[in-house]
Amino acid sequence: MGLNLGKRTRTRLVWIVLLVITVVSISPFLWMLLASVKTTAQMFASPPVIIPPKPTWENYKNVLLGAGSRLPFVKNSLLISMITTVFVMALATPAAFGFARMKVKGSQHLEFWILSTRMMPPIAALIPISIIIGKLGLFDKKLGIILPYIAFNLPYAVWMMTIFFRQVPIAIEEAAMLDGCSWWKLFSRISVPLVIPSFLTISIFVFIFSWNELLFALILTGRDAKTLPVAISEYAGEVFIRWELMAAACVLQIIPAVLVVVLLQRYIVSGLTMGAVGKR
Amino acid sequence: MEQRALRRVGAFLAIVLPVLLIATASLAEVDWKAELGDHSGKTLRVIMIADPWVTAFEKINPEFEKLTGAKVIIDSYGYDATHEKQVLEGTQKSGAFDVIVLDSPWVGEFWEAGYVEDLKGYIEKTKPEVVEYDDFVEVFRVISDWKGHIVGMPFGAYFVTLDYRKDLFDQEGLTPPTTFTEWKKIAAHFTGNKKYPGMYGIAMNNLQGSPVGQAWFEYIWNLGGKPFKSCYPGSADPYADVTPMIDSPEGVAVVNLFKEMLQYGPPGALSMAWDERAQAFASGRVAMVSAWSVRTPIFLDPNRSSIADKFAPAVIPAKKGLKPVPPVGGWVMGISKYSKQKDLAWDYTKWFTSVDIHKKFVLAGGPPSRYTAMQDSELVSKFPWFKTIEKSAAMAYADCRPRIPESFEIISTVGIYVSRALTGELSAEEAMGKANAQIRDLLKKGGYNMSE
Amino acid sequence: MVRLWLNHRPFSIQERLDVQATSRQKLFFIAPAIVYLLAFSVFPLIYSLTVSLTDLNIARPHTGSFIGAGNYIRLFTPGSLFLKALYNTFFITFIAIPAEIILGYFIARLFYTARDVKGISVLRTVYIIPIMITPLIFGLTWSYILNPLLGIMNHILMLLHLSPQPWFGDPKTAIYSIIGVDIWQWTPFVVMLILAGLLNISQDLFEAAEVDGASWYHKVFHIEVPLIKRVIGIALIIRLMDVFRMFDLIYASTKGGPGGSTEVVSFFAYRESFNYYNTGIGSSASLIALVLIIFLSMLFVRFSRE
Repeated sequence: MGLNLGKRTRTRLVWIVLLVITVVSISPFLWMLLASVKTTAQMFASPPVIIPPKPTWENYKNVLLGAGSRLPFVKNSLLISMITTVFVMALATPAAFGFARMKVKGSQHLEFWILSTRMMPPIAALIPISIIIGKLGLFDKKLGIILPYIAFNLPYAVWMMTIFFRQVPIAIEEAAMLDGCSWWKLFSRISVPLVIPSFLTISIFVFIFSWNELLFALILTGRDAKTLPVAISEYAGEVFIRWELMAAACVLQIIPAVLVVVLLQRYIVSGLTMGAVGKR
Repeated sequence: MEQRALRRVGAFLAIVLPVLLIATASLAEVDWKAELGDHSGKTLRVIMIADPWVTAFEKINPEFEKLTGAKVIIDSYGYDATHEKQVLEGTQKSGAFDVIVLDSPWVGEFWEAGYVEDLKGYIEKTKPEVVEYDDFVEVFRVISDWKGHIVGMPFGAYFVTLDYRKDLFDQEGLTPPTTFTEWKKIAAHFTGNKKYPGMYGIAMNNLQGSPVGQAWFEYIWNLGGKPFKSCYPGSADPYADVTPMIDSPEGVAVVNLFKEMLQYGPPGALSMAWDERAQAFASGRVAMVSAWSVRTPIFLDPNRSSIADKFAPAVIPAKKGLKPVPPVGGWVMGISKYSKQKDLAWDYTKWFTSVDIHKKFVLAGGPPSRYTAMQDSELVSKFPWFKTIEKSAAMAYADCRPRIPESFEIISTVGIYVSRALTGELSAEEAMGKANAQIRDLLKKGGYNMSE
Repeated sequence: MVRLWLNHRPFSIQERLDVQATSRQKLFFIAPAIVYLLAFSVFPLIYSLTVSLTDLNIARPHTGSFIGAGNYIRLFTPGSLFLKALYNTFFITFIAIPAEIILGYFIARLFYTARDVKGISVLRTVYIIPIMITPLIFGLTWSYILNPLLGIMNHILMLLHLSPQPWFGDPKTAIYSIIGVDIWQWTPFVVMLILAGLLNISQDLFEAAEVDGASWYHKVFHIEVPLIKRVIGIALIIRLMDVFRMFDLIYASTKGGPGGSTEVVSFFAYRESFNYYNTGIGSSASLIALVLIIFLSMLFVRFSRE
């Protein structure tokens, strides 16, 4: 930082450096995007074809339509993620309200326990859960994977919603209670509406976490309830790995993630650090 | 006088013979419409390995749909994933798949765990000319039989052949090696040879786990060793005494052989498995490959290989003085015990593995597993390498890879330790010693008999 | 540790208003979630612990007898693959994370410096996209890019007259390739955190220092670092927990190879549990991983408290 340039030039320079860093950082995805519109021959060509002269939509067609269609798995993922989100929020929001506004004995311990579930390696829970799900006859059924997903995301949602409930200016709620409002009325008519933006944000995060999950889906689903990440991982196990098809499927898979980052960038810091950092 | 008699005999024959031929021909052909039930509206689910033959299946299956009205859907996966999913379905008692295509070393595992039906009963209920069970290659019939139960129809027999670039060999005045010494010399000859820039000697299965573990079991015999005390060609009961001999001098020699051959392989040789080594050969980067015969059709396909007319298969080499024991492997078609459509599953199985359909399968690129297929003139003229297959089949040993329930773990464990030796982390002796100890534990837990 | 996490002290309406909430009311709100969690996290852990003391293999009947610490002993036998997995996991953790923190700090500094330039927020948004993408996709993408024969990376190296590398295919390079991919995916996360921390620092402090004629060194180390120490601490803990649990990336690229050089604890537990179906050993391995993570996190929290 000893360069004696003017401040404006310095920031401009920095901007350019950042541009380069950003492009390099996302270049793998750009490369994958390009791969998704190439033909098999172009993928194997040597020297490599960087930008195909005529991009083809065949790969997307192959992934979504026809005999090898992965569309059922996209639908599975969508359905599973949505239902998980609904139930997670339905369970978490009242619980969070309870922690935030009611005196719950030992709530510190409970909160720590919730935080500690984030430390658990998924494989540790998966082994017994796969046996439980099997015994319940839910193997390869959407419900069989929704239940564990709810369990996995519940701690996170409870934690986050608790923080958001605590941020609501307490004056409003105090006034309502003084007027003789019941707890449930307070909760449903006043508190929840006040946290709707955060509620939606956390819902979206839960959706994405479910959408992205691999390990549980790998073991708990077979043919019927298979999710998109599992289907994508299977591209890599084939005789001739069709990288171009896999790339197309990957592009489809990351669309929600990209959307989330673009639309929710303000909340990402808070969302991913469980409220420890950033705007609330 | 004689001429007229002859002419009459000739005329008689000219009329009778064709009639007889047609009659016998139609007798030999199975009336599938009558043989198979009506399964309209049903869907049959098949789970199998993602080997090159999947396209052959997909080409032939519509015929089954036309005959029975049942749709056939195939799910195929890589090697470890296939095992994982099939066992997973079994442990979860899931009937998601009706037909399970399993690898030969897994027959004991699947039977003992109760995941598959005993096809013996099904075969006995079916007309012999439909099944023609004795027409299957003998060594593969032995493989699919576990303690008297038929775990699956032996329809997908593979043998390892040494595929080599005949054009290059001819150019250099070489003949396919019969001993490992010759084999090594030839591999060295083609590696870094200025006449053939970018070419290497050989590509082998070196990927850790099942690929190189499997390879160990392929080569141990040809170096004069055996994996377990009572397991050797000609043994009455291969599993009478399973004292593991993984760390025997021959076992260590296998690892050292693999290590030596690494220098003749292309970059990335350490991570090559079945597909990568086949790819390397098909794209002309290596002069030799010892591959399962299921991939030979790929080498012949001008769309996927640049050496289609330039190679030939040979019987694999062995240590000097030893008769080669070509590895036999491949897949058997079984029926899941939890399938809710066992009749449909059997209909499909008996149909697909029958003589006629098997021929179609072979024509479409499948491996020949029936004598009729291996000796059929039409097929042999199209695939002259069947002769090598037949020769290999006669010398193969059914238990070249163990078929006990612990088999998958044993092969994979050996594979992990061989890999650690190949990377130089452990010496060959250390690696095989550790593998032996672990496998000994495994066998002890399984209650097997070990004399030492 | 909860205090480290939240910035303010929790409080309840009950305390402030002296309003009563009956136990029944409290239960109504909280119980469903707690019960659900109990069923799906406490019970499975107890089950795991129990099974880890047996030789259960769920694909083989007649297994499941009690063997005490047998599995654990086997895991810690010298030369075992599990020990190698532990070593690799620690190795990756202690190289990738410092790299991410240091790199993340410098890039965050850059973003901070350019924070008023037009279009910086677009750049920043694009830069952090990778963090929401599942590691599976990363692993697959990089497997393609680093493919020794087909991949673009070796092609670029050759254009620069450097020798092509085997990347995931060689034990000497595989683990560094994994570390590299991890750094590539998660540095933006660290950047994001540190940037948020930097943006929270009041400008007045900096201006005061300027007026005092403070050197660059003083500004960084005496003003900035103490204030962002907390943020870095959070980043460290989260990354620690995540890297130690790494699975998707390994599954999508090397599957532990070659030669076990990228074997990590989660993958080891997975292979034992779902390839060999040795449920007993798999449970033992995953429990050890769990204990280690908790231990490391506590250690770190204690260390950062001073």
